[in-house]
Amino acid sequence: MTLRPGSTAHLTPEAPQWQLACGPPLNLPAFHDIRRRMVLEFCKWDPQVQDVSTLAPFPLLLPEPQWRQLARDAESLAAETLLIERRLMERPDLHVHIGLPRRLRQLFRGAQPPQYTPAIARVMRFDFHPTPDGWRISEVNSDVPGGFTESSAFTRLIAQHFPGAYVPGDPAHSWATAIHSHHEPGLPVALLSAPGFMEDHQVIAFLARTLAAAGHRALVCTAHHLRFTHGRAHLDAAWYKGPLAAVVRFHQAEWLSRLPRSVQWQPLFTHGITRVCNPGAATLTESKRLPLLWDQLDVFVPAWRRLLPETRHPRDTPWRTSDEWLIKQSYCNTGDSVAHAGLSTPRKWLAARLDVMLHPRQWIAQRRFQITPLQTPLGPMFPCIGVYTVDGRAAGIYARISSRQIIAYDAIDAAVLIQPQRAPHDLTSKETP
Amino acid sequence: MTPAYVFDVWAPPHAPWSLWAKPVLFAHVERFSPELHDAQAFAPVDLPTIPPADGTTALVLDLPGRTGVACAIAAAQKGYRPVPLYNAVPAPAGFDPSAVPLGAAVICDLTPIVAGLSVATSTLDRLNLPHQAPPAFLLDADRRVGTRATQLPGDFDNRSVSLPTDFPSANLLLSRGVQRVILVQSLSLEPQPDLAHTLLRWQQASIQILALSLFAFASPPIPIVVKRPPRFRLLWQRLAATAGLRRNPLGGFGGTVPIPSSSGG
Repeated sequence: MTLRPGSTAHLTPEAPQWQLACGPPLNLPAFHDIRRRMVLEFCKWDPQVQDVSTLAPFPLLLPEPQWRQLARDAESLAAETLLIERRLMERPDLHVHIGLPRRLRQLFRGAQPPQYTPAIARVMRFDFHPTPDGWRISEVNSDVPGGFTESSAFTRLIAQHFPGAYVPGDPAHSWATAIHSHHEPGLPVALLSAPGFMEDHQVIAFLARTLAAAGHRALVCTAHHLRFTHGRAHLDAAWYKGPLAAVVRFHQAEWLSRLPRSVQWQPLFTHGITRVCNPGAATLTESKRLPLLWDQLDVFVPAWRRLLPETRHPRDTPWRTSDEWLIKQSYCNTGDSVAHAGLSTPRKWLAARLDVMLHPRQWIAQRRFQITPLQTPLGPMFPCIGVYTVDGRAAGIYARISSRQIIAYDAIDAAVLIQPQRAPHDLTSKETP
Repeated sequence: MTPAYVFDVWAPPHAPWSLWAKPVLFAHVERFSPELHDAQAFAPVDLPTIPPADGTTALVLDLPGRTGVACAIAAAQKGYRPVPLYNAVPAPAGFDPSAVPLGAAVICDLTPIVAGLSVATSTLDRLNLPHQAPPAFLLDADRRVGTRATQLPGDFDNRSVSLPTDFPSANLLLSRGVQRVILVQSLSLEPQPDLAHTLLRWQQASIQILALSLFAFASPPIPIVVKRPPRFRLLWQRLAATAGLRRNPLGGFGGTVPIPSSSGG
């Protein structure tokens, strides 16, 4: 692979063409410049978590055929996930089995599928991991997938130093385009998050800027500012009072359901007319217990069956004694509730065991898979390649690497660049396949 | 004065503690006009009993508004590297300050801090601190409760909490020679409940914790024993503390501003 003159880093020519590899690190001034731009221009406001710098100064290089395969798989998974979601809308009797919080079960029980609030720009992210047996997924982030800042702006900035490779898409741009194609012109879009979580504030601040750059008025708010009249969303905030074109919900469903009853969060889920991204129905497919219901739902989900490790009710596996199983909560958002005797601290393992005993329907057992580590300048790291779909189409990659096999809040964000197979001069401006 | 210049002065790329500087306020400096604020208000205060920086002592300045910035400059004059840990969004995206004054729309008015950081930048730059200068971590003492006596429906809730992950670990501090930490607050010597989670971890790793009140600024820092805060080391501490999920032990953060029942629609 050749490089454009003046580039500051070099792709590894000897890297095998068939597998994910780590690219060389940028020189320090170039990376400092990227980091500064990320925090000042692109709302990356948590670049350090305790002793961990959360932006990798090197890219991950994914061969183009691998990216095409992942994109196809993600699109298949997205279609199947929507199928599961529709079936679950018709079967509220099964909601208790996916660990759905009680207040959400009560809400969905009173709604027929047409009464579920409509979606705008439906986003999902499927987390892929390389294993000796090929790619496996650990989960879908169906409710409120994050990582837009890193997968869009950070990847683009890193890519400028590797002209022989190209970005696998720009999820934020795809998302904004999808919002634009559906939303009512003239009215603002509200972006909703929980107060106090900077990692969420930074996502909606970035998305608000992306929407503003596309010519929309974007307003940040909390759930307390929303009002609904006959299903139509309004904002009642000190900085805007009036109707909304759409609501972007970056507030996890199970958290919303615990807010005081005076907060009008329910029309984000059912009986709403204003479109929501993601709508409350996405909560149904966020559950990690879905595989337990595939047969009962009578759904054809070949991609899910091929890519997801065996998943069972905890009572049906020897997870306490066997090294081959790990457990995770049905609504596990950052990987923090994934537990395994050999990977978790004794305290966390004990707490998880107790919770499984008390709330077995809130957990699943999943067969462990060995993630193939990457050799990086930071040492061996385990990658997680999150592939976005926006309205069913693959839209980009959010990658994280961790020194542990479990990807949690302290993982490091890495840009994924695609290594083309054709001559580089033909491909430096190539778009998403 | 560009945001990049202001940020590079407060978090120079080659200073080892710069990695911990929280960038969110620096991303907003252009939206706040420093001219609105009296530059004299940010003149350094006197910290006579803080020892000159020798590499073994770090500071945590948990002070409100412009006082924190003024003390940061005073600490810098003694050789400490200010590390801003202000971690709240000053204004909601889409907010138009010409229509509504910011102070009337947010629970925590960060304007004095943002303007203070901007105004004090040239002073800090002139000090030309060595990259290895020990840290003086800056926190907004009003972060959990806000700056307004009353909170109204429709306000933007930009309160925040300080978390252990916002700071270096005890191991890292010790590896860089830090053996004691002086907490500077306005009145009390007892740390705020959220900060206590961090200080207790440091204390358990044999880092000595001392405290100083600006109210008695002529007194030397006093060794304190950080008490075990509620939910110490619980995995879900932050979930309990934020997002309004439940009334939390940190003193009100995450609580919701009541909404009148007549405000629907």
